Amino acid sequence: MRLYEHEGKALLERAGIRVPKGTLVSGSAADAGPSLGAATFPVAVKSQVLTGGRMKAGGIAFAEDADQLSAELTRLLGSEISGHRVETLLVEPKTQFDREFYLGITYDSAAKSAVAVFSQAGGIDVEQAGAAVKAEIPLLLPASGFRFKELLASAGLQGRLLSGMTGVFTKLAGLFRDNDCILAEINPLVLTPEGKLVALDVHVELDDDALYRHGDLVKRFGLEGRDADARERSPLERKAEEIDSADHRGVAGRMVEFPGNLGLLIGGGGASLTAFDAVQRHGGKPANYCEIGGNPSVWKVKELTKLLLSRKDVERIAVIMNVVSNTRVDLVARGVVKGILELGLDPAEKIAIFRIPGAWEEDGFSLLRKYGVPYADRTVSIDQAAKMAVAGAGGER
Amino acid sequence: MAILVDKDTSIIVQGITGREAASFTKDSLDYGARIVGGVTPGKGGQEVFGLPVTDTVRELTERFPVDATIISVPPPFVKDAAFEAIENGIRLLLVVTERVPRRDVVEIVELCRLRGARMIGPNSLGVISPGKSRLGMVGGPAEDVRKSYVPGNVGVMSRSGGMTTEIANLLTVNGLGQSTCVSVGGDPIVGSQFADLIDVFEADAETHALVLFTEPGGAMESALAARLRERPSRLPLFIFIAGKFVDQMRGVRFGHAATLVQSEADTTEAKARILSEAGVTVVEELSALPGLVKEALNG
Amino acid sequence: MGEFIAVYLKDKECAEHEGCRRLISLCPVDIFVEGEGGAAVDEGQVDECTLCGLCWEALPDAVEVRRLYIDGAEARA
Repeated sequence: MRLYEHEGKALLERAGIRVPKGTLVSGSAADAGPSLGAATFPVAVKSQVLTGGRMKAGGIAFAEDADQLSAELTRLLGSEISGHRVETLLVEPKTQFDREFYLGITYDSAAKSAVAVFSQAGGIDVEQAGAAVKAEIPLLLPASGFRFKELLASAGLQGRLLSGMTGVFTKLAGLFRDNDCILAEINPLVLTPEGKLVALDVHVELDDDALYRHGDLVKRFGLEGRDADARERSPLERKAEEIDSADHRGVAGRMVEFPGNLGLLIGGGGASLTAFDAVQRHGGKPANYCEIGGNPSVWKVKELTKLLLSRKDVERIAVIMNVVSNTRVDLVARGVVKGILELGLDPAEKIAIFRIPGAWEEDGFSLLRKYGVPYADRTVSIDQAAKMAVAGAGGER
Repeated sequence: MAILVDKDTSIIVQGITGREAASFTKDSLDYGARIVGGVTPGKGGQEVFGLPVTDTVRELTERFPVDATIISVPPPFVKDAAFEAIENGIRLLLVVTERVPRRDVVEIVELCRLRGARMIGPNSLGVISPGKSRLGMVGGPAEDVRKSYVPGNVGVMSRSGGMTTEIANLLTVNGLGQSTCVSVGGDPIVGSQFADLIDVFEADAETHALVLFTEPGGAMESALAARLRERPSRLPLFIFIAGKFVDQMRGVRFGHAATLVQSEADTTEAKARILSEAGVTVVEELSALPGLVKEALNG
Repeated sequence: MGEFIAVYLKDKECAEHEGCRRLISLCPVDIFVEGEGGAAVDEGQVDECTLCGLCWEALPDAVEVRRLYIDGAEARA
C-alpha cells in the first residue's frame, strides 16, 4: 500500500531524517488561509496523490508570495493529476540545494533479499540516469551502518558527506524494516548550501500482508479501506467485490470488466490467465476477467453468474478452471446453473462451455447433463475449451 | 530415486490440527507419504490419524529422523515455525500459508542460507513425485492425485499451484508421466525459484525434460535466463507463459500476489524473449505442449 | 426441496424430536434451523449441501438427502 508523501515524511521525521517543515491544506483555498499565515516564501505546493511523476504532470508548483500561493491553491485543489483527484496539498518552504541524491531500500525478488540502492544523480529522471549502486542488506542481523558506508564509498562519496549520508541511509533502513515497507525511497535527498541533508520527496509502500502488526500506522493514516491498487472500480466490479466479501467461503470476485460479449467464470490464479489468453487467441471477446477458487459456496457462484449476465451485452458465459482438487466441480456447476435459472434463462443456451475437471466431477457432469449444458472433461485442455466456447461448438451435453 | 521427496522421506506437519492441514495430512497418508507426526502448540499429547501431535518440533526430531516439514500455520506464526524447524535440523521446508509478510519470508531465506536448508513457498501447494510421495496438498485427495499424476520422466515447476496439476494432467492424458512436480509458490518472494531448483532436476537421472509455467511479474524468469546463459541445461526446457493480456494492464494485479506488470521486464513478452534467447522453448498454446515434449524426448 | 438437492426430515423421528436439534450445529452449511419441537429444513439453503454425510450418519433414521440431478437418488447410497 502506497503512502502519501506527507505520511512518508512523517515516518522519515520520526526516524530522525530531516524534512522541510510543511503544512497540510485541504478543502478550499479560502479555508487554507489561516494555517498558511506564517508561510516563509518561496514555497513548494505539492499535490498529495498516490502516483509518481507529479512534477511532470503539473501537480507540483512554486509560489513566491501570498497571491501566487492563493492562485496555486485554487488551481490545484480539486483538480486531477494523472487521473487522481487532488484533495490535499502539502505546502512547504522551498529548499535551496547544491546537489540531489537518490536513496532507496526495497526487495530484490531474484536475490530474495532487501537491497539498498544509491545514485549520485537523484531527481526526476533518476530511472534514466543509471549509475546506481546496489547492496544486499541482511534483515536477520541487527542494522549496521558499515554496509551503507561501504556502498556510498563505492559510489565515490567522501568526507562529511559520506558520514552524513551513511547516517541517513542507516535510518532509512531502520524505517524500512520497522514499518514492514516493501519500498522506502527518498528522491531527491538534497545537500543544502549549509551542508544539511534534507529529504524533499519520499515514496513509501507498506506490505499489505504485514499491516496487521502496524495498527498504529493504520489508525494514524486511516489506512483501513484504502485500495491496495489505485485503479477505479466500475459499479459491476464493486458489486462483485461485495458478493465476494459477503461470504467467506472461497473466492469468487476480483472482477475486471472488458468490453466483450463472452462472460468468464474462470480460476484459479494461473488458469484464469491461461483461459483469458486462450479466449482472445481464438478470437473471442471476453466481457471480464475474474478469479474463482478456494471452493466457493453455491450462493457466491450463483450471484456472480447473475451479475455477469446482468450486463446486457454479455451473451453467454464460459466456465473454465484447471483440474481442481479443493474447489468442487459439482458445487460450481450448481451455482452457475442456479444463477441462470433464477434469471429465467436456459443453462443449455447461456453456458458456452463448462470445463472444470477434478474433485466431484462425476456429480458435476451428471448435473450438467441433466440441464443439457455443454461440458468438457480433463481430456480437453484449457485452450481447447476456450476455442469451443468461442466457436459455440460446445462439448458433450 | 526421486528429488526433494521420495518414498522414505520422513515428514512432519506444523499446524497439523488445522482444518486444511488435517485434510491434506489424511490425503497424503492415503497417497503413501511418510508423515510421522505433527506439531500444534498447546495440543501436545493428542493424536491425529494415529500420528503423535506435539507442542514442539524438538519432541518429534528427538523421536524420529525428520527430513521435511510442511508448514500450515496462520501468517503471523510462519516465521517462528520455520525457524523452529530449521534450528531443529530440518533441511526441507514447504510453506503452504499465503500472505506471509515479505520481511518474514526474507528472514527465513536468510536463516536457510546460514543453515543449509531449503524452503519451497510460501503460498505453495507442494511437491509430488508421482507414485512415491507428496509433500503438501498438490493434486488433492489420493484418488484425484492418481488421475492427474502418473510416474514418468518429465519434471514440472509452476508459479501456480492449480496449474501444476493442470499441466501434469495434460501430460498424463497424453501418455507422459512426471518425475517430480513443484508448485514453487505465487508470492513475490519465494524460497526456491526456477533458477534454484533447476540444478536439482538436472541432477536427477529420472528427469528427461522440464516444463515450466509462469505468469507476468517478478524476476524469476530473468534469474533463470541468467543461469542458463552462464550454464546451459542438459534438459530440454519448455515454458508456458500465461497472462499476455496483463501486459497491457499496468499496475493491475491479476490472480496471484506477484502477478502484476509494473515495468517492461514484468511483461510476458519480455519473459518470452529472454527465455527463448536462453534456449527455452516458449510454448504458445498449452495443448501443443505434450507434442513438443514428446518430440524432444524421442528426437 | 432445492433445485439440485432435497433434504427430508421424517416427521415422527425428527421434526418432533428434541434430539434432532443437534443437526442445527452439525451441518456445516446451515441447512437445519430451529423448528417447532425440533429441527426444520431451511429450503433456501439446501442447494449448499456438500453431501458430507454428517447428518445422516448422526441420525440415520431421521434424515434423507437426495440428489435431484441423478434421478432423485439417495445421497448416502
